[in-house]
Amino acid sequence: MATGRALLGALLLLSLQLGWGPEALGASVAEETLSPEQAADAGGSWTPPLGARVRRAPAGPCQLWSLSLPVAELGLGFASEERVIFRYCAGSCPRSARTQHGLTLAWLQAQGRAHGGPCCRPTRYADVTFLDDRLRWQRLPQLSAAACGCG
Amino acid sequence: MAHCWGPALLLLLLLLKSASWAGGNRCVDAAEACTEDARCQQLRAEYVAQCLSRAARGGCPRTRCRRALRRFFARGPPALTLALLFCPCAGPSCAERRRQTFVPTCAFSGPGAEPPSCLVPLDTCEQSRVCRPRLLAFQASCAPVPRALDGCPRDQGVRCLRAYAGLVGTAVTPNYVDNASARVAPWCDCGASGNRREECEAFRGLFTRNRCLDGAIQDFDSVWSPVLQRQLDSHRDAKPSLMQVPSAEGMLEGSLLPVVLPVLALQDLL
Repeated sequence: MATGRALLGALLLLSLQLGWGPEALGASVAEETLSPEQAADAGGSWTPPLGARVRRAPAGPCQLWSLSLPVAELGLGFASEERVIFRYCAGSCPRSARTQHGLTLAWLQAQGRAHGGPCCRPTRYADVTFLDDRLRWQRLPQLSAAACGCG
Repeated sequence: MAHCWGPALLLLLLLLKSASWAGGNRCVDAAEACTEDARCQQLRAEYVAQCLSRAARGGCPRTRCRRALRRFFARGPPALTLALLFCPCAGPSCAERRRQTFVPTCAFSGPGAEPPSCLVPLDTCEQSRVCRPRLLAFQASCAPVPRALDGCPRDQGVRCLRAYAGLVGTAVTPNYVDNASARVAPWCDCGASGNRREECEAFRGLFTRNRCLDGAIQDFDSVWSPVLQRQLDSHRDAKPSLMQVPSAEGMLEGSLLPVVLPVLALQDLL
């Protein structure tokens, strides 16, 4: 029993020694052991237990989230050894929206004349570029979000 | 029972760690490191966009492409930009990726199918406000010293590499010549150089017969990259980036937990 605990303690120390702390490799470890939604959710203060797939809406205000993905996992049919950063917007939008559109929409929704509510969406996009498996440059314009807003 | 878990878990964790490496392709690692840095990624996307686009007269907009490349190496963090240029390679696919790094079809070769005489880019460079000082800096920083082990003046390897990177995007842009070695040269030859042949060969030899440059490129990964990386890390610690995405921080802090959680969970089983 005591030997087992000592082994596990040594394992933990070993893993920290190997540099698995919150450095550059830490993000890739997170990708291997958490699903992408879980990695995104780790932005908040709660980390879901391993193996759980998170389906509920994220808590917190509308903000920019980022995922580090292999190119194949973008779902667009490209193949590359590179990983890219995909940013997206998620979060709740308070009823008091900041755009003209949001204000009018909120007014109409309060009256029951329009569906839904203001949603968290990108206000600016960025390109994603990589060298594919045939070593040709690929540029995916406006693929990733660069800034978010409620509208 | 307790004795079985330890080594099995260690093996599992080691497998996970190796799975996250891209098969040991250092140039892919360098690309990912650049992607993860906001400034490097933006500058890289910029030059790729310029160098892949079409010019009005057909072909690519070389001037804009080269300008964007100069900006990439001038403004990007050296630890990351030089790592993209000098990543060490053992195999042809890695070396080909390294050769393609700065979109050479636009920035390096052309216009025309055949390389010109080296006197053409040399003369162009001598008359260019941008290129001339960079070429002089390259000649000064990468001048081979006979007595030095690697051929460079003492501890000047990184200056030579930065001077070389400064030439990328100028009239004398150099690149790797094939995917089988780390030899570099500008896109030109000394076939039709007439009575200036010696001058031509001397210029080309700055790239093809330069022990200091070769030594510095070879030593990049083991010697110069850690130095530059330390500078980058200390710069990052001193000045927290305003562009930091909330989830990126959370992702890094939370990543230690997946390692801790299974260990703690297993403790309960004992």
